[in-house]
Amino acid sequence: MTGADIILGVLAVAALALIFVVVGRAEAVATVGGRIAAFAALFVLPGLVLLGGAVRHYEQAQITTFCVSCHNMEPYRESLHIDDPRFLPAAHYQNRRVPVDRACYTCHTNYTMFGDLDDKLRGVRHVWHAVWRTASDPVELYEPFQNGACLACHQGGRAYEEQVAHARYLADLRGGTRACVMCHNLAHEVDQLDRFPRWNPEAPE
Amino acid sequence: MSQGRSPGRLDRRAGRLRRAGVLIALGLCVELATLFWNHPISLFVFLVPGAVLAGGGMLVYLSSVVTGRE
Repeated sequence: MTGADIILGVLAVAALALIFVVVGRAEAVATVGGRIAAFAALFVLPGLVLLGGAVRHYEQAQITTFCVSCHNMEPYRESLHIDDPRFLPAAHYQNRRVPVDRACYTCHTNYTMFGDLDDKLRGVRHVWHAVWRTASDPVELYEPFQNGACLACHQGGRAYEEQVAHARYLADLRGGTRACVMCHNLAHEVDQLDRFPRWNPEAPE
Repeated sequence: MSQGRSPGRLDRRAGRLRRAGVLIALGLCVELATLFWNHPISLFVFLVPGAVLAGGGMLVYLSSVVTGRE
């Protein structure tokens, strides 16, 4: 629970208390003080909780634990611990190339003007499939993985642009005519997880 | 009654305030519960019924303010 959650909780409880007072003495709304109290109880405080709650849920939807909290995402969480640097998600996660608490969101968001909105709509679709059990097993992307997710961080980076294979196809990679995952083709591989050892940072050397 | 308002009109307004209060209180309770639940479904519960109830109650209150003017 964060500080923002506590503030939201306090606001909600204050709103509830004030609502009971205002509703219990509805005749007092005829006075100026009563009107102000009613406006605070029935509009300002609930509005703040509504707005704050929406922002809180929006932020929460970017957290790794949120993404993997659905049962069918569990293998994807597990794949982040594969002990093999060829596996792209695992290598990024284990080497902190993506923020650990936003690992899924960083690579699977859409880096465009309305990307966040698009993500939320896709998220609604994910939940729909999860609730009605119509998700594919294993879960698959709705569309091919876009280079934009990689280039959002790597584009312009010296190590990336000077790397021989990248330098050769730089324009194609930017233009999207050649996909990053054509070469970096080991991703989550959830259907064969058992074949690979796991990295356990807690284990003794 | 104060400012020459009829008792019936005040009763109607009080009734609307009560309806708004109940809707908002229910919505706030649902929203409060979702703060303690970190799961994709909590977002949906926050929106429906939480935001729908609270938002509906706020609209009922606003309509009572607008239509309650002399």
